[in-house]
Order: sequence, then C-alpha cells, then structure tokens
Amino acid sequence: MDNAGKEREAVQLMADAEKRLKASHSFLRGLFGGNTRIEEACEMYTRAANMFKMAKNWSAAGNAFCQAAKLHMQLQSKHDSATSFVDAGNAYKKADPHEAINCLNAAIDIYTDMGRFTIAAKHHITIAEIYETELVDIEKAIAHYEQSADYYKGEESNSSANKCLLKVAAYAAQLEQYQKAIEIYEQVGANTMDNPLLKYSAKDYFFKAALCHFIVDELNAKLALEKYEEMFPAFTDSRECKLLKKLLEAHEEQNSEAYTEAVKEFDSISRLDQWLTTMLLRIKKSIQGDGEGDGDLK
Amino acid sequence: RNQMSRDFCVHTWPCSYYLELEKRWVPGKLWLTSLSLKFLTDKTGDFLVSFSLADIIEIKKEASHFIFSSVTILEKGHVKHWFSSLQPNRNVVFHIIEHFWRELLLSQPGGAVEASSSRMTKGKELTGLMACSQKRLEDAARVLHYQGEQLDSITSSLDNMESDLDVADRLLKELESPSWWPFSFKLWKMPSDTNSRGGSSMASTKALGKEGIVIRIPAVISQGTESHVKPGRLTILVSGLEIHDSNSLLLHRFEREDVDDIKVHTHYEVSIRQRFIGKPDITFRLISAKMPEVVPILEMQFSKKIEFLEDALMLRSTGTSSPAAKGYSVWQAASRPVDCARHREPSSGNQEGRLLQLQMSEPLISEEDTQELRQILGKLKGLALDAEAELERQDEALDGIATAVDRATLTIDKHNRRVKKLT
Repeated sequence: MDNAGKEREAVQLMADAEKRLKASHSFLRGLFGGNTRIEEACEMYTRAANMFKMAKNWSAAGNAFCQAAKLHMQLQSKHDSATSFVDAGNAYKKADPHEAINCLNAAIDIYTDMGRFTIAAKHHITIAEIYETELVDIEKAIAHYEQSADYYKGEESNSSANKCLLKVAAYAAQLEQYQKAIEIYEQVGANTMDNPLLKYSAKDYFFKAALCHFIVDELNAKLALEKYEEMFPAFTDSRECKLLKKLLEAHEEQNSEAYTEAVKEFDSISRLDQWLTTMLLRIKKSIQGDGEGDGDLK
Repeated sequence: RNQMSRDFCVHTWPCSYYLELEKRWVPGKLWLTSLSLKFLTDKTGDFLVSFSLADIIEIKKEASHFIFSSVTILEKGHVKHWFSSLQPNRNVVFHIIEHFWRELLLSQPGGAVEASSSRMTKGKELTGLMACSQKRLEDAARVLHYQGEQLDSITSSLDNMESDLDVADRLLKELESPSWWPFSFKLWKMPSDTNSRGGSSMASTKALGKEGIVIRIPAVISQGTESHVKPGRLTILVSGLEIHDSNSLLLHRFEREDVDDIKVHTHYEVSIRQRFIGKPDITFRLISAKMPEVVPILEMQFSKKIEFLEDALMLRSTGTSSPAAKGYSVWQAASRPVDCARHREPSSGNQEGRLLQLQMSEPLISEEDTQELRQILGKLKGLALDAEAELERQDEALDGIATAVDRATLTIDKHNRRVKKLT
C-alpha cells in the first residue's frame, strides 16, 4: 500500500479545491458559474477525504469532510451536508472524539431541522457511545441517550426508545441515582407487560426496579414487590421474584449466609451479569455492615 | 483478625497503567489479593491504585487507541482504570479478576463448604438448561419485535415515497409541455435497511454422569500454555477429577490412577498433570477462590502425588502452626470436608456403590423442580406461539413492501426516461 502517495495526492486535491473556491469568490460571484465551481470544489474535498481515509490520516479526512459539508450547506443541499458531517464524525471518531461530537451535533441539527428524527436519534446514540467509551463522561452519555429516547418515542419506535432508556437506567443505578433508575424500569416494565412478545421480559425490568428499591430501603422494596405482583401477576412465579423474597427475608434476619445461598442458587441456574453482581454486592454489604465483613478490608 | 488469612496475594501480572492526568502509561505490576486490587509502579514501588474488589462496578475488555488490548475496571464513583500490555495475555487477567469479584458475592463468609448443596441434581440441571433457552427465546422475541417495528416504519416511508413520486409525476407533466429546463433534478434516494439477525444459538450442555461427587467449585481454567483461559468448574469425584467449561461441557476427565502429579503453586492455584510416553502431557492449571477448600481434599486423595511449591508451603506451615490464633482461618474451615473425606477414604471400594445406591433411592427430579420446569415449559410454549403470530404478521408486511418497492422502481424508471427526453 502506497499510503504516502495517497496522502500527497490528497493534500494536492485539497489545495486545488481551495484555489477553485477562491476563484468562485473573486470573479463569478452570484452567477451560475460560481455554483458549479463550488460544486467542483466540494467534490474535490470529498475525494481528498476518501484518500486521507485510505492513508489512515483520520483527522485530515475529518477536516476535508467538514469542508465538503460546509460547501454543501452553501449550495442549499441539506441532506448531502448532513451526510458529509456524519462522515466527518466517523473519521474524527478514531482520532479526536471531541471534534467528532461537534460534527455529529451539526449533522443532528440539520436532521432535526428536516424532521428526520429517527436518524437524529441514531446519531445521538453514537455521541452517547463516544462519551461512554472514549471520554468516560457518563453524565453526558446519559443526557444523549435520553434525548435519543425522546426522539424515538416521538416517532413511535418504542423498542428503540426502551433500549436507550434501559441504558440510562443501568448507568443511573451504577451512579447510585436509584430513584431515576426505578422510574425508568417501572415505566419500561409497564410498557412492555401488555405486549404479547415483550411481556416475557417484563419480569427482568421489575426485578431490577425492586433491586434498586432494596438498596435504598428494605421496606420500600417489599411494598414495591407487592405492587408489581398486583400489576403483573406472572411476576409472582418467576425465579426473579422468588429470589427477591428470599433475599428480603435474609436481609430482615441479617443472615448473610442465607442471602449468599439464595444468590448462589440463582446463579447456578442462570449466570448473573455484571450489573446484577454489583447491585447484589451492594445489598450484601449492608447486611455485613456491623459484622465482621467490614473489618477485613483494613 | 482474620484479615491475614483471607487477604493473601493471589497473583501478580506485569502490566502498564494509564495516568489520566498526565496522559501517559506507567509500567508496573497489577496485584490481586482475594479482597482488593492494587497497582505497583516499577520505578518508585508505590501503590498508585488500590481499591477493594467490592467497589468494582464493571470489568471490560477494551482497546485503547483502537490497538492496544486492555482490561478496564470501573470503580465506584465511575473512576475508570485502564490496564494494558498485560502479561501473559489479557483474557487470563480478565477471567481471574472477574472470578474473584463474583466469588465475593457467591462464597460464604466463613468458607463453609457445602459439598452436598454444590452438587447439582438432575432437576436443577434441567431447570438451568430450560432457563437458558427461555432467556435466549426472550431475547429473540425482543429482536423480532424490534424488527417488526422497523418493517412498519419502512412501510410508512414507502408510502411517503409513493406520494413524492406522484408529485414528481405531476411536475414532469408540467415540464413536458414547455421545452426549457434550467434546474438539475435529483433523483429520490431510498434508504432501506432491513437487517435480519440470525436466530440465537442454543448452548448445548451435557449432563454428567453422577457418581460420588466430593466437591465442585467454579474455577478459571487454562490448558497447557497460559494463553487459553476460560471460566469453568473443577469437580472432584471419588474416582477421579473432571474439568468442565462454563457450558458444562466436559473438557477432560482424569481417572484417579492417571493423575501423575498435582502442583500447588499458591493458595489459589494448582496444576494437574498426566504424563504420556511419546505424547505431550495433559496439563490443566486452575485458579479459584475456593481452592483453599479443595487443596486438603486433593491432599487426601492424591497424597503421594501432590507437591507444594515454596509459596504454598510457607502459607501452609503458618496455617498449621498457629491454628488457634487464626480463629476462623480458611484452613480450618477447609478441614471439615477433609474429615468427611477421611471417613469415606478407607472403604473407597464399596463406598462408591453405597453412594450410587443413595442416589438411586432419591427421586430423579424433585417435586419442586418439576413445578419449576412445568412453568418454564409453559412460558416457552407461549413465547413460541406469540413469535409465530408476529412472524406471520411480518410476512404479510414484507409482501406489501415488496409490491410497493416494485411499483416504485417502475415509476422511477418511467420518470428517468421522461427526464432524459427533456434534457
């Protein structure tokens, strides 16, 4: 692969495009000819960007796509402009996450302006994922997931909206914002329990909501459990509900052995995921609070 | 008081740690004890990071800068720690840390061994299998529903396209009468993405023959070289040792006579080896938080073949020299199963038969398990029926989409020809 050659060619193209653009400004402003010049410059920027991509020079590619997007805007073709911004975002994602977010935000502005909310929502998710993995700014990631969920709901794509909301809830619980997590889980659970296909997963959401209640306050968890059983009778015979009852009992007696036994039995049938492990550990800690459990963390 | 006995160092790995503020990697050692995780720099020998395992929120395998494989650990309060260039490789470290984290939740504080309760009954195994397939089917149902929604939105956007095409048709008609054409006309583009995801794969599991199980513990297993590490289980039977992976698939079975030596590396780590003439040895290396409970049993069963390496020997001697001071030490706790193993030991011949008899007299599947199984089966059936209904609906929707797309293509073709004539 001749990457250096590609890069040189791309730089050359960028320079040409700039020249062409200047020409359109000085001589043929406002005429038809000016527009075709801009169009040509725009195409050159895109080609340069693709060459930078081949040479793996991501930030240069992002920059070129950005230029193309701005020219598209000048030419009043919003759709092309948005696509170029998304391309720019994808290129920047590999080099400069902040710049990628700026580009994607620009694309989102255009899409919402055109009323294409589903696409806007999709890019909000992309931004949220960048915040989540690259920048580890969970608060901002949550905000974008919420925005995306709102857009999806407006477009009646409820499963996509629920997917985003569940992410928000999981993070909220990790950040110990249990109230928020509970609200979301209850809402999603209530939404899904009447759907013939989704009602089988509703128990998971109620289980998670009850666990969040449990961490905050044992009594609340009991009340919540009763409420869920009333709302959704199928919850009563689920393994999750039985586990909760056992855990509540063990917690009341401050019996950490019974607690562990119950959790272990559940885990032997279906393996606990990391989120559940975290939450169950937090509850277990509250049992051991005054016991010997704390002592050995020195 | 018992912190000494329970906070042994389990393992150290050379690795590097990312300093968020200074944006650079520092080399050092990752230090795992049974209760906490620490990072020690090579240069100054300071503990840069130290947190208890209980504060972990999430462990992930990630790539930093898209190239370097790392393990990331999210601590309470969303502090993310990056550990990279891990030796021998990332998977080993990941599985071992995850294992010890989970054991915090799953193991009893006193280290009491429940040889009987950790034994899976047939009914439990069946329930596990069913629960697993139920979960898979639930996921599949969710995906199916999502797909249904996508198909619906495609139908509605096709409707939009059709009305747009009508507008184009009208405009073209207008244009066809006078003969001038100043604008460039863009064709309608159609975004269509239907992604059908394949069905879920069912984890196949194999029930194991039941015979005199002494103890079964979860463990992290590596075979031969340390590059392949996966979570699994070690089962000690009266007649030998069995090693299973996490799907309960039998990886290897050592008959009792076949085991040539067992090395106890540290408190938590043993390796078991079978020698062959003219063939490579079969070696398994096992790490488990429950290992202290198992070592005494292994010692009973394979007294001649077991070998304590230096570290373990030291720990062992401290363990036995002052048992009273330790109070509730692991060793003491572990001595209980030794006693019962000792009981069985002398008559291992007819004892196997006795155990078999014992299990025969038990009903194969208990009442409770049957109840559970019945429930799950009912749910599975309901799910399958609902999935069928949804699939039929989607089928119809797809038919509609196919005809609409055909129609649209035809109209676009027609428009194209007319536009060409105009230019």
